[in-house]
Amino acid sequence: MERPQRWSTPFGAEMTSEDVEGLLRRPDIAAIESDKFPKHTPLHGVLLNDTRIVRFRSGDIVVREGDYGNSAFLVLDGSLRVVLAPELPQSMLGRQSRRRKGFFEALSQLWTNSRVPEVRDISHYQSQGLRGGTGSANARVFLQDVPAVLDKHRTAKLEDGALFGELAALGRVPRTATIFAEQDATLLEIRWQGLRELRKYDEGWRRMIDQRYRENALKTHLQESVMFSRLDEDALQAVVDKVLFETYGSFDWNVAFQKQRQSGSAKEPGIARQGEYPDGVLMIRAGFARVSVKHGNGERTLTYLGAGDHFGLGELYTAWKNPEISDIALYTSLTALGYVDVIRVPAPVLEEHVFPFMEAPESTTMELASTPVADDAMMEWAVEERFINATRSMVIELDRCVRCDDCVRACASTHGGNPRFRRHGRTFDNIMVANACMHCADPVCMIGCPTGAIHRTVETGIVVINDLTCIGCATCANSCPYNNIAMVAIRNSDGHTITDPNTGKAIFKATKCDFCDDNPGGPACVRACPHGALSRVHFQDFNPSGAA
Amino acid sequence: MAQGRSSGAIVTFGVLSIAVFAAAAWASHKAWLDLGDPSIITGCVLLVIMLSLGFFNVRKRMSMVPLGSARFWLAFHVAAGLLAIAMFWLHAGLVWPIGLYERVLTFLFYLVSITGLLGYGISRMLPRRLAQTEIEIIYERIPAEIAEIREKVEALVFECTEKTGSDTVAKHYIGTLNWFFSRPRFWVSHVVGGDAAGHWLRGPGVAARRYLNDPEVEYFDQVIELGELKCLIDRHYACQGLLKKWLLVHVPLSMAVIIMAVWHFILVNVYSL
Amino acid sequence: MITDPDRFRQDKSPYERPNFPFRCGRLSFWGKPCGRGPSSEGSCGGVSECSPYFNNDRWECRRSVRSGGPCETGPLPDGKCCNQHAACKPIPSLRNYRARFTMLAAALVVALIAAFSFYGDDARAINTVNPGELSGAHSKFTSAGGCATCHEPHDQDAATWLKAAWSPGTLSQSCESCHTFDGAATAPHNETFKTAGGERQTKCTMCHTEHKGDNTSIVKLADQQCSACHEKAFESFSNGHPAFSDTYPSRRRTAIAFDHTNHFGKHFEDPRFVDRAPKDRCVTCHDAGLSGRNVPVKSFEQTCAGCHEDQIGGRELVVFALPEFEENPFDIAAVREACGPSVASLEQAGEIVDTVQERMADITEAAALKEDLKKLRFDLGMGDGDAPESDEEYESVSLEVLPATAIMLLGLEDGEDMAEYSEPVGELVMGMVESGGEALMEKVDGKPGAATLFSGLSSDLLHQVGCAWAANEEYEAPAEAVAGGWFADALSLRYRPVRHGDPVAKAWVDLAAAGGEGVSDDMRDTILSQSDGPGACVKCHSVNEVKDKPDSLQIAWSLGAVSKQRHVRYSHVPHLNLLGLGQACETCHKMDENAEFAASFKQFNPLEFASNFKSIDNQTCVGCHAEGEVRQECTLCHEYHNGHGFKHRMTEAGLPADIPSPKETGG
Repeated sequence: MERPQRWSTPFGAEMTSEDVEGLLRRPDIAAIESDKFPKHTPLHGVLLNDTRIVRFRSGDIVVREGDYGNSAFLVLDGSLRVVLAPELPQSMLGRQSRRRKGFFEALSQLWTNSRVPEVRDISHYQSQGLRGGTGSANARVFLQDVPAVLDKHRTAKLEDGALFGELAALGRVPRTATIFAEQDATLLEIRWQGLRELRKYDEGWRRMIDQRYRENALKTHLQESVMFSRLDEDALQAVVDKVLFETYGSFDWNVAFQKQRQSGSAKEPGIARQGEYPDGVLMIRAGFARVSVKHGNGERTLTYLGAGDHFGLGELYTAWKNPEISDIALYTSLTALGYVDVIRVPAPVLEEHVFPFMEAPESTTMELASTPVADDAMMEWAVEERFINATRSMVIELDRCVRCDDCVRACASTHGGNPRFRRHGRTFDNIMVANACMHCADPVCMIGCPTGAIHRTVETGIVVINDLTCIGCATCANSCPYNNIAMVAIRNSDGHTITDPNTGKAIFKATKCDFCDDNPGGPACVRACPHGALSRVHFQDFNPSGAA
Repeated sequence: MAQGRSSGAIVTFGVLSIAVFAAAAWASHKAWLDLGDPSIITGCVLLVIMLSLGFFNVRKRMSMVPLGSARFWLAFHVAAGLLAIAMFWLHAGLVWPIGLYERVLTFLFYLVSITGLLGYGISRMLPRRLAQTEIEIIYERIPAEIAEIREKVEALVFECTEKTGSDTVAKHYIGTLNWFFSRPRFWVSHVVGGDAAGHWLRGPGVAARRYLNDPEVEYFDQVIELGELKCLIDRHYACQGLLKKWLLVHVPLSMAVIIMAVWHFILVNVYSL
Repeated sequence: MITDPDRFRQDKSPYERPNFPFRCGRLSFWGKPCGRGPSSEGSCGGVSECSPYFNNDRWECRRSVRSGGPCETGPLPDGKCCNQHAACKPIPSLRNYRARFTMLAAALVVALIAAFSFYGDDARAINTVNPGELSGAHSKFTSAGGCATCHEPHDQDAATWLKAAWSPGTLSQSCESCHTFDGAATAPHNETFKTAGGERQTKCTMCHTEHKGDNTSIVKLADQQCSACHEKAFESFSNGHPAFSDTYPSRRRTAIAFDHTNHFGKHFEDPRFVDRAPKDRCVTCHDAGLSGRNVPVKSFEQTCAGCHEDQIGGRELVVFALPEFEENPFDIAAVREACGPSVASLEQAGEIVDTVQERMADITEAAALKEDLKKLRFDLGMGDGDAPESDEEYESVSLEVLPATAIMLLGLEDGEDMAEYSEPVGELVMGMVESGGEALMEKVDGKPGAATLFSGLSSDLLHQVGCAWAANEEYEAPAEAVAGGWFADALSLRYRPVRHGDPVAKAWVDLAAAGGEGVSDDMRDTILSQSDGPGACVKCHSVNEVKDKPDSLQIAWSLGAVSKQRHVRYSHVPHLNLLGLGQACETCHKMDENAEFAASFKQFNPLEFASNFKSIDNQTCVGCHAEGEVRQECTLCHEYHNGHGFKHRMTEAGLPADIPSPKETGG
């Protein structure tokens, strides 16, 4: 078997075998049983290709609360601080301190908006605490006054050998805390593939990661589920101890999705297959999964499941109620759409803690199968295009749209004279999903932003980009599977492109729809459409007038 | 869903318009009975309606502030526009007034009304036809799109000539097809929903096909396929263009009407009131 | 291309900027735009594809990824981009065109308005501002003054002109520069009403609208509009109009007490007079041919005279009569001196001469003779000093009493007190003797009609009459018959009216009617007696009370009381034209046999009247003026204005340059 394809682009280009040797000398790394690793992915290879040694200077922010990440960190040297309470202000994290404009402030855009596209006042960029070179992944946002931060915020120290960020890297959940370097620190950053290999092949790591997962995240997660909300503390603990967790699909599914778009071939990892015996209920913790049934010579999508949904409950409940039926089987198949994080609750747990106290679940999936396929075409398409990820996708009804571009102009008028979406996109029947940020439930764009410039706002959960800390690396734009982030070359007010004086290269900024977050009255595009053709929709609730 | 909301707004504003008209008609009749001047009431109402109709354009420029959804504004604009016509007749008392200035004003007002009605008509009609093309293109990108198709066609023709050693396709392109690919064609037919372009393509467009051998036909069919694509783009060009260009008449005339109406208002106040 | 699967990629499809006013000029040739795009001012964004960067002694290509990334050739040695192309001429976007057209339209309209409104002479300015042709009535006289004839602000400077926009209009005042009314122009009906509604100010423009074309009426008043003020609303004349008054149209007594019933029912049927009866009934006496609201009666001569002319001369007025005296009130000597020897005295003188001659025969009686001669001298009017004593007891020639007229003339209280009147009568008669008519004229000085009262009375006659009476003799009138006018009989001065309309008789009748100082009831009764008054005037002419003068009366000399209802109009002519003369009158005017017509003339209140004719009610008119039949709008019978007239005399030259000419009242 060949070595993993990903290793052709190692995580850290500067990682050398010497570095790996050095790492292997550390006791916590040395504890890994390298002989358990298969030949095609040896531990050495994992360390060489899936990790990198990164250095942070005092004050540098390593991870931010709310960020999505695809890597975990192991402290090699130095000390870090976890901010416990109160949280650091958004501006310190390199995020935009968002404030909704007043009516007249908003109105003033009428005359303050520039006629020159993408004008920026570069003097604003100086004030931001940013270091480590623009355009590179080494750029950092740093805290300018660490003692003051330590003074005002309760923090916890992280020292040598501490591992953090593994839950976000494996579970596609936002980072739960902000961590910054108190003193200059050296960390080993392990990308999610490497972390997954380590958990897979090394017993010690698995135990550590699983245990931390069970301790830190699982309980709260289960408690939030309707199924387990009735359980008392002890019963819940029993469930927590017994559930299994699995991940399917590629963490950065967006890359695969884009490739698959080009090639046209689709391969979705199966989670459960129609006709198989269900051994437990599957709860989706993150990501999306397709529920399908065989139809003719293909698979017909009945619905899709997102975070919080579960699969197989009906079948198990029926089996529990009717013990005489021996050959219980799944009615439908479940496949991962991109990346799915699944919690498997074994049947005995359910029979003990859940079924006795619940009413028969309503079976909806089989009813869906009785409708004509044409009714599902729209949903099938939305799943195919992964628009299910959208919470605020821009949907334009083409049989009503007069192509007046009022939406684009309205967008420009609220964004300094620059549109933040493109009025084209995938179409189906009479609807078009325009290339405007959909504010995804699973925002892959936020993975890998070196400065945290792209982030979700705390209040509304809208994905925004802080123009001041955006370094134009285009990571987000390339990650977005929907091409809804656009890189623009910024200009000064004379209309000249601003270039880096050291390289002569134009300076880019990532731009996208911010759902008019700082403007009064919600998204201007919706308001501006005279024919009511444009709406911002959560795809789960979307029921276009054209269909049905 | 959206349709329902929108037509709800139209109905609301329509009812409101009828109410305003009835109120104005009643008030002006009342004023007439009272030996007052009914045209003052109807005139002022009409002027306010005209200004508020004009404010639709201002609203479009001020999308950054929440001034109500443009959907409601359009519904208002349509209802108030119809109201303005009725109000105009109520005000003037005649379809065609006597004075020169008033005649010019009336003429322009009618033009604005007619273009408005036609504009609303095409705004409801053409989008459906556009959606039925199954392609979607931004109006401003159409020239580039046509240029790209033309480039592709010319590359195919060139390649065909090169590979097959026969210039039949090239001659046909130069003699006939080039006219079609050089720019959007059959504007009127596309606007009224005809298929003159397809008809042309299937007629003169493929006339040379019978003189081609198999390898040439392969190239030629690709060219015709691109031609069919261009027909759709032409349809977008014609329909989207009309959807934009009718405003080139409606908006400037509206401006003229509003200015003339304001001047008329001043004149009446100076000379009569 | 539109079929490319990656056409939406962010690095392939940049933001489309519809808010940008320009597009690459290549699009106008249906070509592909360049990567740079036009500048915001509308010039070409650049002729090269990149700006090479000088790095370590060599130029590096900096072509953007969107334009294809660094090119193969690389920059030229001098640091210029190798991909140079001709500059385009960017084209404005459609919206840019729209904005330009809009501005152009605005500018054009403003320019045209300015050009036509503020440029050129009046005639041209009128053409542009004029909302329509003036009516024929007004179009002629505005040619000189133009718009400013009515629209005051028209000729003012721009600031004043504009100010007029929010100051109240002066249009109604302008109307008053030509039109006049009997009341205020801005008062309803040009009247002063006591009711609340009368306080409302009116404007001419409420009912009059101009500039509606040459042939259009400038008055358009609908019936409902009357209800603006008139509270009693009704649908139309035929439906709900308030009833005419019970006495319509004969609210007032007619001037002439012509009893139609009596005449038509009795006299005209009488075989004695049947040949004199009116052949054409009404129109024999009534001149309906051209009549408007009032139908005039033909003259006395054409009408009543046929039967009643003789009755005028038969009634005399005794102005003065010599009353009885107990003692001679006259100074005989003075009378003798003024009158000369009277007939009687001459006789007496003759007798004296005879006696003297007898006595001359017997001269012894010298003393007696002397006395005789003295007497003789006196009788001949040559005497001086005292009258000779008469031993005869005075015996008044007259046993008459003073007539009421004389009492008035003498200013007496009681015409029967001999002691009271003796002296004034004596003085008057002496006045008559000495100064003729003047004595009488003095007495009526200051009374109404004084000049006429004794008109035609000769002083000679008075002298003679006076001398006779003063001499305690009866006046002997000449033998010839008296045709009319002043005359005297033995003891009285009389006037006999000459003809219909005799001025002296009218003057006496008026005097008696007017009453006042000295006019006694007796005198009134005498003169205003229907049977015995002079000329029997008041037999036909009604005697009416005078408003605000309780003791005065007035004689309706002229025919027909003209109605004072200024806001009602009616014209007989069109009705008669339609119905035909003659019997047509009786369509509406129906005789009422039972009316107490004559009785109503026995008193003086003209409003207490029982017409010979039945009153006319709405239904009479509604018979024709009704829905779907003959017109029935308010203004058909009601006239809005009160006495409309013109200030200026209309001439062919148009408006007079110099104002104001004398008021001329027209229609």
